[in-house]
Amino acid sequence: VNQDFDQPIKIKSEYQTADGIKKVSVFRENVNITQGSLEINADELEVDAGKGKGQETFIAKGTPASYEQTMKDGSRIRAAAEYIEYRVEGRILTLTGNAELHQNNHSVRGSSIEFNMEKEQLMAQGTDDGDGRVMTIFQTESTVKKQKTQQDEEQQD
Amino acid sequence: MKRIYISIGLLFLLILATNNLWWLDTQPQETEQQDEAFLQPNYLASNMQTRLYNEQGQLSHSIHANNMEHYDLLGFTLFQQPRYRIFVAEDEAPWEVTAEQGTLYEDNRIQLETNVRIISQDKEGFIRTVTTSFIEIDLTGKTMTSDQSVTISGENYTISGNGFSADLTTKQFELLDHVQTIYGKTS
Repeated sequence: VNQDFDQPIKIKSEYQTADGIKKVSVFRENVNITQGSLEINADELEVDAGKGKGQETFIAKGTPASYEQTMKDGSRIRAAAEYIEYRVEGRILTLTGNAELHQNNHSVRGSSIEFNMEKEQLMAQGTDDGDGRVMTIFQTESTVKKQKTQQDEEQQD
Repeated sequence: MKRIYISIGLLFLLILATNNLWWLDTQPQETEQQDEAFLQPNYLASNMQTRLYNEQGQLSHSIHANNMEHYDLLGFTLFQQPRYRIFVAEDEAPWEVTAEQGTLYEDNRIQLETNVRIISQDKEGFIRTVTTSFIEIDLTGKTMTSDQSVTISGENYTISGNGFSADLTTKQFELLDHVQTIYGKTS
């Protein structure tokens, strides 16, 4: 199991307010969320703790909000979307609004993407043009290598 | 040799004159006593317990303090080691507020200083504890404000920041200069 999820979740932001009745906190301005290697950056974050301990839901909003985490194989997964919802208990990440997810050598884009962070599996995607097609870009090994050599050449110039 | 004695004598007179100023002091003696009256507490109490009720007859807040001094002319009461219980609603557990010192003003504001701890007796409440070095509580409006660093903790979180305001009735609170919040066990 990825040790990230045993770590406390730390939130930094400039402004914070909370509603003790609804048990919802809102963080604004330069919001940064970390949990082990997991990192989310956003403009605003809402944390709903209404269901109790360890079942909080974090909804980050940004233009876009971004997510990164180190996978078991050491590679770094990255995602971005207008809304990033992190359900702590299920370790599920739901990206909505111009969602994109980059893992190893493939990228996925759609209006919404659901990803199980622990199993490192894509669970569902949706697209808003209604015809059910989803854009998944598989970058073959060679294209990845080609991009890498291009990057190396640029660095040498 | 003579000149030294003269200069020492003159110096002595000068010190005497500037120090005493008795010949300048025209005010009569009583005004000094009047100033001191302000500084004398009207009454003192130790190990005291006070209960205050609102117009509807409901218990609004109670204070226990090791000792208390009331200054009528200055319009405030000083408490040492006050322990306040603030009752927000009838069916709700009170908040318990403790500190080293407290000053209660006539408009029902209390300022608490040094080791201020505010603990909710409501086990389901979102906020459980607030600790800071200074807080002002409006006992009528049931609101709290502080401009010092503050730590707020609840069932599964701890918030730290500078400057804080809270409304005990609506249960809304706000940090203007939020530093960090931690969810989950704090290491």
